[in-house]
Amino acid sequence: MELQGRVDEVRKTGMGLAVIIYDPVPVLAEFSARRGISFPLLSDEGSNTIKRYGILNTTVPETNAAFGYPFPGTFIVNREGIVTARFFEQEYQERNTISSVLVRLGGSVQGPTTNISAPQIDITSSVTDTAAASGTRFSLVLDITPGPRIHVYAPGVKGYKPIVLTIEPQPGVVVREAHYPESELYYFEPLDERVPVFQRPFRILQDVMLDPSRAGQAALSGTTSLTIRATLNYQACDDRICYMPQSLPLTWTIAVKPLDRERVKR
Amino acid sequence: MPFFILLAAVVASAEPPQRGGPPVAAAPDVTRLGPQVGDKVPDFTLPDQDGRPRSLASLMGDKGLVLVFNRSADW
Repeated sequence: MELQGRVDEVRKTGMGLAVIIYDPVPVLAEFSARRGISFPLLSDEGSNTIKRYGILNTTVPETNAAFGYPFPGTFIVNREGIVTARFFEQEYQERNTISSVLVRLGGSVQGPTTNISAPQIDITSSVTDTAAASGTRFSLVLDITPGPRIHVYAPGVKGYKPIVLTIEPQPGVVVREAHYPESELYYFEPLDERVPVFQRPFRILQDVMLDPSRAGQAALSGTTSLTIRATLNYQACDDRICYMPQSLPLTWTIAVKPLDRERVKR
Repeated sequence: MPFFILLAAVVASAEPPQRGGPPVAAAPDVTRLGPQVGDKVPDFTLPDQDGRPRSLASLMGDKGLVLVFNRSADW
């Protein structure tokens, strides 16, 4: 369970962590001891809580030995029990890593970063997870700081080139949503126009998943390391001039893990 | 040789056990299932791996709770 390696990150956010599973207590006890799990695993044998939450996997017939498991996902709740964010995936093999969940909630990225000096902006590139297995959904992270008085254009801008990260397609990698922050409106007096820009430090998150389909697994078969290539296009301007549009190649390399197939010993 | 290729394909699939036959319903839009942002989640009391009963309140940190639903520890 990837979560155990991230317990400290979760604790730093001040949030508690618990996992609900439909296995009986002895199965969870064995799993917990074998993996050194230090957070609560809750046994929802009979799936009553899963049903009360409305997330029982109904695509499985009741006669199936595995019936009773949920659509996997994560709720972030505040102290009053109100949902403030939620992460559910359409494909049952798909899993948001806890690090990608935390980074979406504004957390910092653990692990190595690469500093890239680009025209008019500084970029720190990182990734939420340095290793991933089939179905793992994680985030490529770009922390961008525009230079003094510099702005770049936000997605949705008209008449200028917005900053856009484009992932190069490759077998075995599924490109999911990108998350750009709220832009601010920049007033350009000579043209009396207001345009959406980023001029303070901001973060772009691009979610990707290691393709869990047969074809995807075949493409990654025997692979221990994967390089994801992308291009960052942007145009920077200051209060007087606009600079040449830039097209910046970027790469991230992660380790590819085999799927976790260890089962509970009986 | 084809036998081994077939075996590898079976091992490589991460699908849940399907001993009971094919799925009975089309997959719903999971983003619409369960409590949404702004909704209150149902309380519960469930035993943890040590057999101790845990309620929602007992799991809360100062800032709230990351509540994960997983498939199974067993497959």
